Amino acid sequence: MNIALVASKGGHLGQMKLIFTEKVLEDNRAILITEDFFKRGLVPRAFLGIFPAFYFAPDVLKLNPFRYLKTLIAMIRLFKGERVEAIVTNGAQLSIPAVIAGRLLSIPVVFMDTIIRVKTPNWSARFCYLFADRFLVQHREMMHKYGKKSEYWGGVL
Amino acid sequence: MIFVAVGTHDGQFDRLIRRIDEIAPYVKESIVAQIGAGTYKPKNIKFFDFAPNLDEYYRQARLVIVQSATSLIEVSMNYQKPVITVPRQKKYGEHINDHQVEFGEFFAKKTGISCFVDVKKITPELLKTYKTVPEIDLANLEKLRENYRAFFKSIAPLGKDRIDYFVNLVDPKKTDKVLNIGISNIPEIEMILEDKVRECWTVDIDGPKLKKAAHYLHKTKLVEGDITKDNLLKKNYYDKIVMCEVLEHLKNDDRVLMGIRSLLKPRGKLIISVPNNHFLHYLHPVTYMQHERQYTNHSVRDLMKKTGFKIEHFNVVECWTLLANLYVHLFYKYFLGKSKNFLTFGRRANRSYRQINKGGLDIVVRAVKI
Repeated sequence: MNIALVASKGGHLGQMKLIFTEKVLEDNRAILITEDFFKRGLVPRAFLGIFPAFYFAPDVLKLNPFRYLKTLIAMIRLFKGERVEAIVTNGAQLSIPAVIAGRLLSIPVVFMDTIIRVKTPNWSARFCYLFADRFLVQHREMMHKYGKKSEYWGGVL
Repeated sequence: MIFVAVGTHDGQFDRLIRRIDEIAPYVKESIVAQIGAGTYKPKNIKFFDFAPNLDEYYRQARLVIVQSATSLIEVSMNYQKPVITVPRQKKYGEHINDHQVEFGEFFAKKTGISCFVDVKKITPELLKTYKTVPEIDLANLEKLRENYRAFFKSIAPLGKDRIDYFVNLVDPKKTDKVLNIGISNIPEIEMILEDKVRECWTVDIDGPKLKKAAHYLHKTKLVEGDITKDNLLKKNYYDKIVMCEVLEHLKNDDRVLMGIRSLLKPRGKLIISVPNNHFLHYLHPVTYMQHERQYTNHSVRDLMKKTGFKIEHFNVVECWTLLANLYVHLFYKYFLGKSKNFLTFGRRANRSYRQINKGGLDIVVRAVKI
């Protein structure tokens, strides 16, 4: 099975790398979709030394709807081309086009909230709550802050 | 060596770098700083803005000072080093909001390290004497990983296409004896199964069809006869029995199932597929010509319960392409006089064989003899 892991640069990507080791992925194939300062496009063997990674330009989305649309189209192409069957995403802006693309292509999407937010909800997670199939939080205290759909599966800490 | 890292965020974090630069002359150790997007250039310490990998610096350092972000967790987990954390704040223009203050205090409370919201509290004496290594509990992370593993397993595709799906349901093993009831023109399931199991048998009432199928099969034992009447197979002999699209053609389905139950070993498995009571079946000519009845979800469950089986796997597969394929086939056969592959619209139907569906044209059941 092909799994797409989507995360913005920095902490979001760091958490993904902490959680998804080879033991978790088992015999599934993964593709990492993230942002980078220098790399662009599909790079083979960039994630865990075996799996490919796809890089977008960092922090270009901001609040510009046209850039979201452009990224959404790129993601749909990527998910179709790589035959992605599950999407796991860990927040920030890059997850918004990923979650919408997953909903459009009827691929199951897991949105995991970032561990850094301990008390206050964030807006990108609130938006993704509307589209994601599974919505995870990493602190038990955050359960009721988003809605009934949120689940607790454990956390990085 | 003391290593200060402020991460890759596009905002500056000059407050921390400036303070470290101030106290650097009073600390006798060497200090290296990663200043990120900051504009302040320190004078008393070594610095650089970005590096592809900070691993070497973390390894050499005696004490690490990091921002309260994910890098704090990574450093604490990977290197057994004393750690101090300083959160970025909104009022100094270091981040878009104050979430790092929340997380820094949460992490400090949980692991016992120090979190300084006010950089003035970082003093030369503190840096000399600080030795608290964070204690991290990995139970939650393991729990999360375990949940992800279970989730990936639960959504894994059941098979590439129809044949693969049925073969996966049979789950062939080297010691198994498998019986297939009712043969098709090209016996695709048996062609795969016969190499993977100890014995593969096939029963059909139609002699000429069996002879046609024999071209494709090498090891399979072909038996001609009627399973409803003849006593032609050994009882208590088979591990698995496959019966695709047969039951709806027979008059007494419960009696036939009782007979099949006696052929199975205890805990033997039965895989059946029958047409579902779907509105598209009213456009299906074969329904009126050959089928005795249509099944529903409830009637199949009742039938299996009545005849002494326990349902393990229940799925509803196929979609409108079944009918489209059939009409293409009939058109080619009767109007053009040619034979055509039955699977013209295969891709859409194959998708229904990968997952558990709510609706469809065919019911598939795997049941255990009890």
